[in-house]
Amino acid sequence: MTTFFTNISHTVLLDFIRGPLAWISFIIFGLGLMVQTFRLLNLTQKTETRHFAADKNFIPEPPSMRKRFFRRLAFLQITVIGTDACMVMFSILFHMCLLATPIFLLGHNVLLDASFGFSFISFSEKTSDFMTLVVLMCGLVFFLRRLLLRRVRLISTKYDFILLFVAMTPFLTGFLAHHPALNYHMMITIHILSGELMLVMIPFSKFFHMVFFFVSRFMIINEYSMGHPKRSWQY
Amino acid sequence: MKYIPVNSKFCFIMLCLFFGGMVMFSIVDAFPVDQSGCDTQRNPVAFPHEMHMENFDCEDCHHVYDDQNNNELDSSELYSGNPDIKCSSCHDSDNKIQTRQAFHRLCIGCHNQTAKMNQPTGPTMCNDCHRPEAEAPEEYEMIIRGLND
Repeated sequence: MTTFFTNISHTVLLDFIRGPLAWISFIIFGLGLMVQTFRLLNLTQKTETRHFAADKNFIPEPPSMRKRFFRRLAFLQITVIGTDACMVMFSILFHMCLLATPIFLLGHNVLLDASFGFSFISFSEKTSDFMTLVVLMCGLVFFLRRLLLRRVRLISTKYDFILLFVAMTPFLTGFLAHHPALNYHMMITIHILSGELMLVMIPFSKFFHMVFFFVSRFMIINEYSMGHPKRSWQY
Repeated sequence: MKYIPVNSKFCFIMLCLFFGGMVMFSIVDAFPVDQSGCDTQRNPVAFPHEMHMENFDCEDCHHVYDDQNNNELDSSELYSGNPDIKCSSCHDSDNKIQTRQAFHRLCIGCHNQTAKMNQPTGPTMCNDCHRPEAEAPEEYEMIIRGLND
């Protein structure tokens, strides 16, 4: 197995998965995002917001900044921040590191620069290592949570575990490739393949919450919406 | 909806905090490295100079470009031990193309190009060149990346 990966990856496999296959997955990712967002907007429509006539004699005293601040804090108590603050912390850390690590990774930026002549700013590799470990630890927390907490286990299916596995694999294999404990070529091959799999899966799976989070919170009227959304579902 | 004190301004602030936090997290490096000249985050590369001399002209890599991108390097300067023909003598941290960029663009760029022409080529992935020290092959005579200056 080891020699297979060492021999074939140099010539055919690695060149294919980091050449045409990467382009294909990026195109599917981009087109999929656009198509799915368009579909979602087609399922909803703008609704008229109702205006109630206010009593002209009643002029409420505008609440002070301090009062408004505490009202907002009080509101947060009935959101997920109030019910499961620990999970929110893990989730925010997880998503920050998940998004930032691949973009600002030194290795990715060097390859970008060598291929296209542009790159983003990059972290030192120690920072990237640390952030990858944060992602992996949070992933472990989510995994154990799905296994151990009864209320989460009730609504967990195989699909959820598969998605968690797909999201974690690029980080695990990338970490193992940088710290070559196992065969480097095998790790880097699985790393690229799993990254491409994740890119392709984003528009067509629960990973689409990357876009849908903003749509459902800020554009569609429902009990969890924030701001002043204008759209409602078309029935 | 007036009684819910979470309005669009508040949401905007929360989103700004999240993405601002992400950007701050990105810019403020937790474990910064010394970026003066060439940083040494990875093991040095053992570069097989003779293997390249067999197949390429000296001026394919060594260059002093004029305005029209013509290589006007005097080939009599190309003798072993001349400090002026090192990549880092021009491509330092003040140059538009810095040392790390220059090495990576030259090596990976050429290896990618020859791979596209279906010819035998060199490594293009990180750890193929930046090997763990124990694995560095002994016959490679020259070490690039400014560590042996």
